[in-house]
This record gives sequence, structure tokens and C-alpha cells, in this order.
Amino acid sequence: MSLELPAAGSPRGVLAIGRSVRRVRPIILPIVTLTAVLLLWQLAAVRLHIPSVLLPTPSDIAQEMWHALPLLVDQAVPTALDTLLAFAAAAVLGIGLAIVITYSRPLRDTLYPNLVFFQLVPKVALAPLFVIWLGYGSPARVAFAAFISFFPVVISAALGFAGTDPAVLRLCRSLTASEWRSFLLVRFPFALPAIFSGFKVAMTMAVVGVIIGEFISSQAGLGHYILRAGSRLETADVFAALVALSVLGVALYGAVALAELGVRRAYGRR
Amino acid sequence: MTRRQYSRRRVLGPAGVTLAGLAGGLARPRLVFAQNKTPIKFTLPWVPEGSDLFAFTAKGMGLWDKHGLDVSVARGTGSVAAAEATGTGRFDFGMAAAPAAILQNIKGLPVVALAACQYDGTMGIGVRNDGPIKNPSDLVGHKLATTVTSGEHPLLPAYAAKAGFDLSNVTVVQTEPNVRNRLLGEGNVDAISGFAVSIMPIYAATGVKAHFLLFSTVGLVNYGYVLLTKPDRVASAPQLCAAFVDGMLEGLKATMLDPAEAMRLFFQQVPEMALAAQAKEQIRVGTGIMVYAATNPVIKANGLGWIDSNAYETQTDLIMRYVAKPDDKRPTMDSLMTNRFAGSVKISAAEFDEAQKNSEAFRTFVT
Repeated sequence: MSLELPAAGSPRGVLAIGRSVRRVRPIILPIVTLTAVLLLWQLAAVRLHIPSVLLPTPSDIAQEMWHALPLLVDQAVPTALDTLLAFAAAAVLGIGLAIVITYSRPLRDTLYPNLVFFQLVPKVALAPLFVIWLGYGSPARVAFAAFISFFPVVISAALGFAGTDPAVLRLCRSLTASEWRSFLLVRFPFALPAIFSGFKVAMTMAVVGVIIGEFISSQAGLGHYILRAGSRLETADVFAALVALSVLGVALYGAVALAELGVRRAYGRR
Repeated sequence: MTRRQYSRRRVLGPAGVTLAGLAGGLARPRLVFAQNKTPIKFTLPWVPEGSDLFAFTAKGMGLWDKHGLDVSVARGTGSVAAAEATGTGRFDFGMAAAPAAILQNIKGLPVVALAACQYDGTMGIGVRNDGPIKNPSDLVGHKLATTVTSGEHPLLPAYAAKAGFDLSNVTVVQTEPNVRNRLLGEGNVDAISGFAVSIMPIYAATGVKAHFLLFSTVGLVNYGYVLLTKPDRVASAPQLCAAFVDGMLEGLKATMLDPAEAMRLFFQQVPEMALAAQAKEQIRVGTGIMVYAATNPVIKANGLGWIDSNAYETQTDLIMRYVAKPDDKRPTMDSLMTNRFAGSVKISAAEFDEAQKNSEAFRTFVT
């Protein structure tokens, strides 16, 4: 027996092509759009004779990236480490606070309005104070980044915990399950999608927080590199560092997405 | 009804007046007689403060109006941004620290320096009066806070070389400007680098006893603010450039000779500055240090605004060596500066002495 492939012109063939196009569209479309934008940018910068100090061409930036790649990797390391530390702190503090808010109504009434109030404070204005309070080293940057990124974790986790199906919780109580076991086996898995939504936002905010921290005070890092290149009017270098920063941000976001996949699979198997 | 009689006198009289007027108009700069003043957009390098206060003196005393200009003064966000905004034509004229203007030329966005306003940018090392740093070499083994975007930052190795100490033996901490200023004020670092004309007024007004060891004292040339425009404006509108520069330098001279009156005019135009606590003291000290930096013997010999081309060339050497990239092209001196419009506002020996006397009290802030 031989395997017969559907002919291209047949209805089954058209359906198969349509499915393939739909499958690759999310990858192809962004790439095509990005390429078109870069081409337009290159053409406009060259045709309009825009000085590279104002707007370097994508080819200039690519060249600069190639030259500065080892240096950019070096600078990305402290930024990535600070970001991971800040994210970890935000995740632990955020989930801890969400648990407290979920289980204690008086504490929720006390803390929740204040959390919202602090969220509305323009936190960038507070960044210099972290350096004054904690010194000009890594702790100030990590603390500031954790401060701005923990709020989405608290809110998402609290909503996730509160959104657990009440019928399932009643069933747990009727089966005399302890609060801890109910939390671990019901509330937490139910809240996972919400928690990871918060984590994804928190990770991007942690990157931003660390970069702001590096702008305020740093000896190394991509934020430091951007400041230094900007002050010397090396605009292509600034763009190269921004590209490196975007790659780092996407990688860290991707790590959270992968972790979500792993955790949800692990809970799904139980 | 009377019939009009046309005599030769009646016809030739007004015609003669018209011709005389036209001839006079051609002989003098056109702008002086313009009925409608030429609108000019000018950007400061930074917020209105003592170091750029003379622009408000020029405006407040109507010195630009006298030259047929209606100048609108915009606040800046730093010398680099001011030079860039002037180079791209968003402003007709700008004022920026000389190193920023030179660097921008190197990077391919040309601006020409039309006049120097300060002959010492007051770049230096700020230290507490009661601190351990008495001389530049005392920095070794101590903490120095610096701002990577500040103009003096890339020149720190040049300063160390000139002053004879090894910068690698100094703990250099990079911070944002306000944090840097606070770190020294609160004693968290032993020194900071920056511009005395911007930082000392804050310390003086808030009671921090400090002073600056200037880069210039070890022979590191650093011009302060220069007036800038695009090269094509110099070629196409020289009268406009002359009128603008003259008005500004007349304002600078008036400020040097009567700082108190200049401050009065400043607060009249920027009333919100008077709202800030200690603002008057800040402006007073800033103006005093600015007058100190502007009172250079070169203006006695050549008039205000004159740029010493040798000094400017030395400064360009420094920028090429310590700030530019190895493959950057060095611009010609002609493309960087011109003395075509400087020197028409003179200062007599007596006036020079008067200006020096006015800045005497502020020399203790800069050594």
C-alpha cells in the first residue's frame, strides 16, 4: 500500500495548504513586517542623507553590533543577573502577599487600597532614592526593579486564588482536607494561568527597572553602555545596545513562558 | 475746492526724501530699520540659571530688539541636545558647552561656534572643604562619583594624566547627576566630577561647604558655553548672525558689570524660579561663577566673544583623543569656529577690572 498525497488542485489539497499557511503565518508575518520596516528605514536614511548621529541605518547598527558583540555580551551579564534577582524577589514577595490577601479579609482591606495607591505613584521618580538608601551597588537596582515588578504578581495571583471554583473548595472541605492541602492541590493549580500572566508582565518590568537603575547608578550593564554611548553621540552603538536589550528581554520572557508550560504540564499529569 | 499745484519743489522734495531714505537703508544693516522684527528661535543649553542668565539680560534690556530681532528663548535639556537641535535647524541659534559642539561636528552634524561666552567651562572635581581631598593626587584611594553623560566625564583620564595621578587607583562610581550631588553633600563619597558653575550654586544655597578643583588649573583647556548656528546660516545671513551675537554679548557685558540688575531682569522674566527655596542664592552664586569664567584677558584685547583658535584647537585635540572613536574624522578649525562676528562689543580696562571685582567673592568656590 502506498501513501497518496492529495493533489494541489483538489479540495483536500487546498485545505492542507491553507492549514500550512495558517501554521506558519504567526512566524512569517512578523518577519516580513520587520524586514519591510528595516528596508524602508535603510532607504529613507540613505536617500534623505540623514546624518548617522541622528538616525543610523540598520546596516550601520548591524555592523556596530558585530564589532561590539563581545562587549555587549559582557554588559548583558550584570543586567540579566540583576533582572533575575529582581524577578525572583518580586515573585516570592508577590505570591506571599497574594496568599495573605486571599486568606485574611482584614489584611486584604488594609493592604489592597494601599497597594493600588503605590501602583499609581510614578515610581521612576523614586529610583534615585533607592541609591541614596541602599548605596550605589547592585542591591539598589535589584530592590527598585523588584519594587516596580511585584505589583502585577500580587494582583494576578490574588485574582487567581480568589477565582478558584467554590464548588471544588466546598468538596475539599467536605472531604476534611486541610487549608494547606486545599491550597496546594486546588487553589494554586487553579491560579496558575493568572500567576504566570503576572510573571510575564513582572519579568518585562524587571528588565525596565534594572535599566532605570543602571541609568541612575552603575558601573556596568546595558543601561550603563547606552548612557555612555549616548553621551559620546555614538547613536549606532545606542541602537546596538537596545537590540541586545530586546533580545535579552525576549529570552527572559521566553524562559517564563517555558516555565509555565512545564509547571502546567506537571500539574496536569497529577 | 482747491486745485493742486505741481511745482518742481513739490515733486522733487518727497522724491528726495524717499531716495535719501533708500540710500540710508542700503548703507546700514537692513535689520536695524526693519519695521517688523525678525523672529529668532534660540535654545539655552539647560534650564534658566546663573550660567546662562545673560540671555535674559539681553532680552530684558531690549538689546536684541535694538538689532531688529524678536528672540524667543527656550530652555534646554543639556548641551548635547542643544547643539543637536541647532544643527538640525529646530532652533536658529543655540548655546552649548564647547566640547558638545566640537563632538557634534566630529560626528557629522555641523554647527559653527560664533562666539565664546565663558573661557573656563568650570569642569572640575568637587570636594568638601573639610574632606580629605586637598589636591588632585589626594583622590588616589578615595571614592569619586561621576555622571557618565556629563561633559567632563570622558576627560577624567586627561585630568589625571595632567595632574599626575593614576585614575585606576580611584574608585569611580557612576550615578545620575542629582544623586551624584547628594552623595558628596551627605559625605557618601569623597569627591564628585562635574561643572562648578552648575553644582556649586546648589551647595552654596543648601549650606554644603565645598569647592571645586578646576581642570583648567592643571592646564586642561575647557571652554564653557559658545553661541552656535548652522554653517549655511553664517553664509546666507551674516547680518542676522552679527545682530544676534551682538545682542547676546551686550547682555553678557551688562551682566558682568551689574550682576544685581541682571538678576532683577532674570526674575522678572522667569518668576517661577523665585518660587524655589534658596533660588536667589543659587542664581547669585551661579552668576558670580559665570562672570568669573567670562572675565578672561582675551576679551580685553579682542572684545567679547573672541575665540582663541589655539585654545579651541587644543580642546579639539582632547575631544579627538578621549571622546571620539579612532575612525572619526577631525574637522577643520574653519568648520568649528569663526571670529567673524565676535569682538565688536568691547570692554575697557576699567570695565574689565569692575567685572573681576564682581566675581572676586566667588573665586573661593573654584580653585
